[in-house]
Formats: sequence, C-alpha cells, structure tokens
Amino acid sequence: MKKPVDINKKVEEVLGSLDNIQRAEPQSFFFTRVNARLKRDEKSFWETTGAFLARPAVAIAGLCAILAINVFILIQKETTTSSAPITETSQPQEDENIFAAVNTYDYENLEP
Amino acid sequence: MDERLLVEQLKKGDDAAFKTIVETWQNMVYNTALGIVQNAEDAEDIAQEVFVQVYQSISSFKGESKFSTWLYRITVTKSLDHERRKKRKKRFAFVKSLIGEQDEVIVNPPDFNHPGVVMDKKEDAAVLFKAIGELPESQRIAFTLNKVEGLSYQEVSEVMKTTVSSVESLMHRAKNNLKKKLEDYYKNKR
Repeated sequence: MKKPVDINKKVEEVLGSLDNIQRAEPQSFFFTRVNARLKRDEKSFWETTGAFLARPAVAIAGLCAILAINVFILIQKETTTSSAPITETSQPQEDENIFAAVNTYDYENLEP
Repeated sequence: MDERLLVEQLKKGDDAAFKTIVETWQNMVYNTALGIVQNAEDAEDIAQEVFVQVYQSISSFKGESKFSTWLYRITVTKSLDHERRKKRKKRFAFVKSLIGEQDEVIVNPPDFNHPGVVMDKKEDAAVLFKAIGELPESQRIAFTLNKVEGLSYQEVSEVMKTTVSSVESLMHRAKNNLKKKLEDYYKNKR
C-alpha cells in the first residue's frame, strides 16, 4: 500500500464495495412494534389541541392577533378620549355663556 | 394490492390496509434510515416513527407523487432530524463534560457494518460508510439513495425535489470527496 497506484486501486475497490448490496431488514414483528407505538402515541383531545397551539406558525399568528386586538382597542380608546373633552367642555361653556348672558341682561334690566 | 387503493383504504381508517403498507415498505424505509444514520437501533426507531407519521398524516398525501417517493421523503427528513438531535445531545454532553458536570464518558461509535454487504467486502464497506458519514448532507443523501437503496438519478431527484442534473452534480462531487477522503485515509494508514 506504499505506492500511489496501490492507493488508487484500493480506493476504487472501496468505492465499489457497495455494489450488489442487499437491503437490510428490520427485526421480526416490526408491525407489532409499530402498532404498539401508535397506541402509545395516540393523544387525547387536550394534548392534540396543545400541540396544535404550540406550533410556531399558530403561536405567532395567535400572538399577532392578540397584539392587533390590543392596538385596535387602544386606538379606539384614544379617539373616544380625544373627542370626549370637546363635548364636555363645550357644553358647560355654552351654559355659562347663557348664564352670563342672562345675568348681563338682568343687570342691564335692573338699572334702567 | 394497488398502491392507490391501499392509500384510499388507509384514509378511511382501515387497519388491515395499514398493516399491508407497513409490511410492503418496511424494508425500504428501514434500509434508507440505516444507510443515513448508520446505526441499527436508531434506524429501527426512525422506521417506526415514519409509519406512525404515515398513519397520522395520510390525509395530507394528495397522490401528486408516488407513495414510495412520499415515504422516502419522510424517512430522509426523520433520519436527518434524528442525526441533528443526536449531534446536539453530543455537543451538550461535551460542554457538560468540560465544566465537569458530566461523569459519562463520550464514546465514539464503532465502525458501521451494513448487514447487506457481502462478506468479503465488509471491511471496505465499513471504511466507505465512515467516509460517507463525513460528506455534506445533500451529497450524502443523494449517494446513499443511489448506492445503498439503488434508486436511479431520476428517482433520487424526485425524492430530493430537485432536477436530475443537480443529482448528477451532487453525485459527482460526492464521489470526488470520497476519493479524497479515502486517499487520505490510506496514506495515513501506511
């Protein structure tokens, strides 16, 4: 095995060692073991639901939905709070103006 | 029995059809897994997992490819997942041993002997399998499907969802890499 020619010959031999390879077979009663595993792996409703929710795509989509709902509620709140002071302050002001107007009127009327 | 009929029956929950499917394709699945993971116990475990998945997700099989192609894809994916898990565990064990939390000794696996190799080629095949194990993932899969499972380049391309020319290229690179690895091995063995 000292000459490169020998090495090349050996390499070619090794590369051809898988020619005519036979299929390997599992040990006997393979189906019985698969069946037993299938029974063992059968999941309850809650396990299946949990596994479904734990899927990255589902979990991320759920998280996005919750965030979107939160943002929507925040925006809704902001629009109601920013519009509410106008109605609150404008109403009493109108009343005060009326009150003042009435008073002015009265004062004017009191001093003829 | 016809492949399509078996699939249809399994979709309806027929256990006898499932038994026929397992018995028809168990050697194919086991041999493919064994060629990739190079360990009999792991290959048995993967083959079981493959059929459990087939039973649970047969409804997702639309019949666009051959059933055997679908089986090969599941087997290759499961085998690669298994290897990644094993490598992760090995790395974790190594780190643990470095910080002195692990008393277990990390042992390198012995040479793999495929039971389907003829007796006088066993030693050479063991050397070859070791070199195959060091190939990049896609080259390893293409080489294993072609040489261990005996699939044509066309069939390999269907399993790997690629073109025949890509498989040819993968095989060419795999053979070159193997030659280099084997040459180094025998040079250093002198």
